[in-house]
Amino acid sequence: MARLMRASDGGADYGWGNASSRDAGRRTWAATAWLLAGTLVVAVTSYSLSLKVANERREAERMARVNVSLASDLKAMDAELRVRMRMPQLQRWNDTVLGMVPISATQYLSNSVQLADYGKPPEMAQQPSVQLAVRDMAPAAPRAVAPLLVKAELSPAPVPERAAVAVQRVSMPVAAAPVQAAPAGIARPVAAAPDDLMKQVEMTFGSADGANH
Amino acid sequence: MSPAALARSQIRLPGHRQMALGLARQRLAIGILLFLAITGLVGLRLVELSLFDGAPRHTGVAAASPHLRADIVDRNGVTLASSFEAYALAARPRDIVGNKEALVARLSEILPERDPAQIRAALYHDGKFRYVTRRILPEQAEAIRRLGDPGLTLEREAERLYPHVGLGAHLVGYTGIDGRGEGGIERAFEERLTAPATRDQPLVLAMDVRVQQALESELQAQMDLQQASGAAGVVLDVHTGEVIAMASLPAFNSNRPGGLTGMPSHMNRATLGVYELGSTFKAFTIAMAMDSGNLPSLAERFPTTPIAVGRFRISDSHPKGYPLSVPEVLIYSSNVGTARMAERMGRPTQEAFLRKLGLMDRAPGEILEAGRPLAPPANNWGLSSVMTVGFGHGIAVTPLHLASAYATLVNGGIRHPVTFLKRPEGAETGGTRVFAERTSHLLNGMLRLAVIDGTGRQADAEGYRVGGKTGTAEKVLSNGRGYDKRRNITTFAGAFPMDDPRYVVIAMVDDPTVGSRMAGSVAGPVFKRVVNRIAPVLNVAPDMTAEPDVSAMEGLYTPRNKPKPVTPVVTR
Repeated sequence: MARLMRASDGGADYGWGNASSRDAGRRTWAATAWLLAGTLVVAVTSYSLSLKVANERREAERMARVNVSLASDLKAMDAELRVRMRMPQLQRWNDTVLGMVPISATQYLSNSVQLADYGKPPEMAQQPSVQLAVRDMAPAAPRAVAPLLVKAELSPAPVPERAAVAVQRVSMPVAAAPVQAAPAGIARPVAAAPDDLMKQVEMTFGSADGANH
Repeated sequence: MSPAALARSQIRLPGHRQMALGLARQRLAIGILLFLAITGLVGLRLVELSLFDGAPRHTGVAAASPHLRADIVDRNGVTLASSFEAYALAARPRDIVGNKEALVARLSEILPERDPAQIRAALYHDGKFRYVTRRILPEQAEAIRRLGDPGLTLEREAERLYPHVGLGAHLVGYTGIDGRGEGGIERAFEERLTAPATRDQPLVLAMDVRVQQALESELQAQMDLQQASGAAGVVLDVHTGEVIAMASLPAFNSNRPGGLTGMPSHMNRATLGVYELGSTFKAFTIAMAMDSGNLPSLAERFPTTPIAVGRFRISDSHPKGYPLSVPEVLIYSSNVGTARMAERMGRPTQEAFLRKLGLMDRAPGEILEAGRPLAPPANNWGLSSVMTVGFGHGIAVTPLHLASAYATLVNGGIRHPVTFLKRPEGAETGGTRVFAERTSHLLNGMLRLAVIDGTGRQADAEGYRVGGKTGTAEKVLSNGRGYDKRRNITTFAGAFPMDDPRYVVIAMVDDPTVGSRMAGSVAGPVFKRVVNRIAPVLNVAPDMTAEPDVSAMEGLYTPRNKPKPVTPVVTR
């Protein structure tokens, strides 16, 4: 193209001088070269940009695909868990292994006096310095502060195992007794219930506070 | 060259040449500009694509939504039904290459639960296309794909999974082989569950799985114990009309609903089956009579001597031998007493109240399997019908009808529309008043007394102040002529806690054959055990000191035992 332009320029006589005509030719050539180079640069840059975009897009699509498959995996696992701990199955566990029974009305305590009075053995009446508290057996955290507690087995009968008793009685200073663990005393046979099973069951049945209205 | 010719060429040449040159330059410039413009355009488009054409368009499978049909969850978000991708295996017998017997053997290995004879039958089938099996797992589908036989086709389809298997089977419903809902909520909300706009959101039911499980297992236990042919139960929130649980037994496995929908296990006894629910209606009759001004004083005494109306003879099943006051009529479940009250208020009042209670319309709620009550025909609703309807005979309704009517009776007299969907917190329920508040209040006391001192003693869940009424009705003979004296439908309809009723529970056991056949000892214990189990879940705390206000009935009945000291709690 440049040669064409030069050729056409070279033969042309526009009334300019010869030298200026040669200058003009060079200028045009340079301009064309710049133009070409510019075009090339733009084209190459754009192309690489487009490649980059395409790459990004492919990556995004791959992520979306992974997301979908993960979501469906998640759903499947969630469903498997749900199926494993389905209500009829929990009922069967309870009927055959756990043997839990609903809390009876007498096990609900409405105030701290009732709480203190609950299951009080007669000989304790003579010891004013200690107060009884009834605690649910589940939380393990308070056991860590065991030194605070005066260790005392208050049940008249020998208690073989912690899990075997429905209610664990501990004597403690009055200040440390704001425990109002309400639904105390679920009778559980200790033998055949594995720990994780119990945990799972507790999670599913939840506590009374979690109940809806 | 002649001067003339010279002159001509001299005249022509310069202008011509200049023009040609100008034209060439012009064309060149236009060409260059065009080239630049096109390159620029392409560049701009690239920039635009990379900057402004954001998210990649989703195509087909890659990003398909995993929600093929909306999940169904209970009121606490526990999944009751969800959808999965599964495959159907079909055979095109003519396209099968290779040994068919070998293929049958391979397929049987992959699909152990499928009968080889059926696989063989499908592969040797005469037609063009035949399903071998549906609902196979992705791993199995992959294994089959690896067999590489062109005669086997795998089709993607959605599989519905019910994690709790048969729990609430009739309420939740099930889907057929084509993935359409065929019962319960699945059928009633087909549009809502499948529309692309709504299927990403789970459908939230009013049901609570824990309550549902308690209700079903206790009913099932009683059914097994007494070898009954069926059972049904409803737990209804009296203030919102939400169905917290609804059971119909025998149930089926929703994951494999199987064959015909006409099987006894597929019949929803709670919404479709209509039963004469017997004495449970007596509470309505007393409330109607009080509300319509036909029962000015609770102290009025009704004789219990049998009445003969037409060819019927109405007598009491627990005869007392002395005239009974209004509370005693309910406590001792006197047919004669309620018949007399019904007689006094007459048909128009009775019919109007039954209509207001919804006992003349189809079963309430969104489920499409809604039974139509059997009431006396308009041209045969004479005195005898009025009297028998008064104690719950000659009218057949579904347990859900009964639950809704009891909720109306105990909640202060307002009937709220029944719904299976969870109502948003604080939503307006739009109730209509049926009974006066005072009537409802008095009836609450009487229903409590019926449990403490009357026929419902075995339903008394300690601490939960339950109140309710037993109902024992004889089953209609299969030939439709008269009643079978040896087969009963036993019902207990009640609510708790009676000092401020929150939930109505209906327990119905159909045809118990072993042991007692009276409602008080069949449905009553079920009611008690159900209440004991569900009350903590529903946030109802037992209280050994609270009791509903029965001061209006003081001296009108004989307490069974010397009553324990009771401090009446005046509610509202």
